[in-house]
Amino acid sequence: MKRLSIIIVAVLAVLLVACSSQKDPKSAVRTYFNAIENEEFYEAACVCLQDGNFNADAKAQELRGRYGKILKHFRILGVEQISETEAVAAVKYKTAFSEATGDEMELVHLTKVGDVWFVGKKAQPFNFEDMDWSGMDEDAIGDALGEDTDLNMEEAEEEAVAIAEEAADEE
Amino acid sequence: MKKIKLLIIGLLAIVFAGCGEQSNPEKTVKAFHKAIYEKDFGTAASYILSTNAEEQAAYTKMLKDIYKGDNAIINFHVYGAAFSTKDAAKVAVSTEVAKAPKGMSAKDVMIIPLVKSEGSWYINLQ
Repeated sequence: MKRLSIIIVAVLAVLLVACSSQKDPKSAVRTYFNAIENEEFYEAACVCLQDGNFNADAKAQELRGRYGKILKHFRILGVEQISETEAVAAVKYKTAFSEATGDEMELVHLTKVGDVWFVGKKAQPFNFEDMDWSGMDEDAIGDALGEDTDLNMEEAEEEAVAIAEEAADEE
Repeated sequence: MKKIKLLIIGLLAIVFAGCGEQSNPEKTVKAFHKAIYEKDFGTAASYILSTNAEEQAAYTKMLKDIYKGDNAIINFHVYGAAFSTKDAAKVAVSTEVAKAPKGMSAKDVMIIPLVKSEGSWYINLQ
């Protein structure tokens, strides 16, 4: 019984530490880049948003390929929560090549799941009907596309039938 | 006495040069967004690197088109700069527009590239 209690307390402590390091977007970014700077890519992968196809090993490999032995001395310049569940952080860091290439800067997107913030952005399918097309000039859209958008379905159908008949005659 | 006067003038010149609106990348980005916030698109365009007046006019029109109506900037904050070289930098800035398009956020963070030309920093759109 005592052993079980110790295990439960230990599990809760681990969960508490994990959640407190991702309790807000800034801590999540700091945890992510700290892990990368310390070459702990699996730990960094665990801070990433886990979608349906997420694989921590593959993500760790990806991070190792991208930042391995390169990133050092990162600094979080600022974090902006852009909605209830989304935030963007601007991060500056030096690399092993900084003397030649200068400092790097990148934007890191974060997503809140429950009470925990993760690095990454939820894929949002583009919804044509959700777009606000009011005020859009149809001619301007046509000009931008560089083609005639007034497609005449009757003409197109007639043309298709003619092509099919021609092909049949040739046979 | 003359030497001291010259020294003071020299020091003042250095101080004022360091306080100029485009003396560092952050100041340029701040002045650019302040001008957009105040709808002074001509001044905003003057912070973009260009080679002639025609290009400046095109940038003014472009900014006017982008930041009209709901897309007007109502708030901004410059985070800081990263220097690629001593004459090239990137600045992170957060902005908030009056009303976001459906399904999008009114707040955004972006990275703006800048170059130093003739002692001043300009936004580099090329």
